[in-house]
Amino acid sequence: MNLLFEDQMRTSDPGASVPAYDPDERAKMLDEAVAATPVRRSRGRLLLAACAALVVAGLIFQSVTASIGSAQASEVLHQAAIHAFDERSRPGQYWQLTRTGTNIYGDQDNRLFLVRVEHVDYVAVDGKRPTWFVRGGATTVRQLSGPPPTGPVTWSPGDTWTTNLSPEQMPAYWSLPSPSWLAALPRDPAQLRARLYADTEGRGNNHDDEAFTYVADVLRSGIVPADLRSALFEVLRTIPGTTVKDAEARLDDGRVGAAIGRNDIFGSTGQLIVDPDNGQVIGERTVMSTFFGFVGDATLTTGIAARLVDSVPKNVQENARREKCTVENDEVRC
Amino acid sequence: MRHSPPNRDRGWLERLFDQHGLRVRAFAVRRVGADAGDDIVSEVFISAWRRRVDVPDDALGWLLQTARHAVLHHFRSSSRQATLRETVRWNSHATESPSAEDETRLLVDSILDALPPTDAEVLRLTVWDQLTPSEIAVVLGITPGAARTRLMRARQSAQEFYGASLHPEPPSVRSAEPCSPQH
Repeated sequence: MNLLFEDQMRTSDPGASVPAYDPDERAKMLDEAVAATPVRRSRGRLLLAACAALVVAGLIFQSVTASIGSAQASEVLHQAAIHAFDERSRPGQYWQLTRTGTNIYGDQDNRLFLVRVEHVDYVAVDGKRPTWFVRGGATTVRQLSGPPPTGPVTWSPGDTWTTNLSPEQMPAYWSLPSPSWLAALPRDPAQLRARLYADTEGRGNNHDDEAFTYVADVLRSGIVPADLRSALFEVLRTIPGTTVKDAEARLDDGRVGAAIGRNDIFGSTGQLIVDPDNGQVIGERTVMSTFFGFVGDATLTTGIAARLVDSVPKNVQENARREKCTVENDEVRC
Repeated sequence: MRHSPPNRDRGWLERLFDQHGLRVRAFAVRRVGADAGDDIVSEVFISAWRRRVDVPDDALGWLLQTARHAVLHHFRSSSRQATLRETVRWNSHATESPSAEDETRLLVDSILDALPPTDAEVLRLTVWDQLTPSEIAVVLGITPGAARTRLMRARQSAQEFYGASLHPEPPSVRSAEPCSPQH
């Protein structure tokens, strides 16, 4: 009798006698691969164009496009779930997370300005070393409201700091995850969804809105591993009302993804920009509605880029303020 | 903007397919059966072509990770909940005398089911797909060290379960109560 379990596994290997593809099968599969087009975007455009031509009533148009948006979102998220992939990290490395985008700043005279900002975080891949934060100064893009300024508008020059605490030493939650907290989340979409809806129970105005917000929060962190991203994309597919708002949302750096979001009760939307071809959240944007009359329509877009680096740049280390922080009652005090 | 490397043409895809197609097919068949397995392989090579800029030169890990995600999606789809394993079980229940092969497979599946899912997958990737810990790390998105640790733990636990299935302990050994004298 065979007493090694691995020998029993080999005996019962369901793939042991799988044959190679014959020439016809091989050719067919290669033809399909080369001929396949990224249908999720082009199909969305075609469907929307076709619908636009047929629409005779605004209500019908809204209904049809909402349905298409949902189906499109499902397809985009499905592709993103399959393609989620991470560059392999080495111990000691950091994720350099760069967020570049627009925001709204106000001055003391109640003027509002659209400004451009860049934030860079250096997060240890193991979560066991403190994070370094670099906040660049804002530059004005244009004035949104209020009387014309009497002089040049300047903003604070930015800041660079770190703390004595690593992510693993801080309380972790959806909007501030640590690697071990992320590792403990279920990878099964049904279990993950149950956890998400349990954590959002009783929060916000709408349970589905809040669930979407929590998923956006954790994905925004930029440190979610590929298998969990894949499960989160699957969960997003199941949140009612999640639709593609823009099949080709373009970031300033040229990257393009599908903007996926929901309408909140004010009509503005928080959207994730997902690249279905690499299973990454490459940005996010907020489309302000006319409800915010003092602002008018505005779209705030932030690009998110993550790359592995071996160390925190020397100038960042030299210039950073060192915050002394403690954890009390699950709160970080600095 | 990303550009395709000059050598990533159809010939490159053909070489990729010839080098790894069979292993991707075996990987998929092991997890979803023959029919759905070919859908997985097709999806993997469509992805490889579409993302040819990103596919590393040492492509097996990338291909199998893409296959793994496609397999996971396959199981998530509500219309495809019956796994190969469940099919085998159903079939073996339907026959009056399951074959020795079925019994072995049921035993192997039940032991793998008893392990933490990632540990079981590490064992499958090692024994069935013949990957090294470094390759497993790519497929599962973990570090090679974690892959080695999980492999060691999975081997030990699986062997213990297997040993217990061959030599089940008599109830009296597990009982906290002293045995009553036999009369």
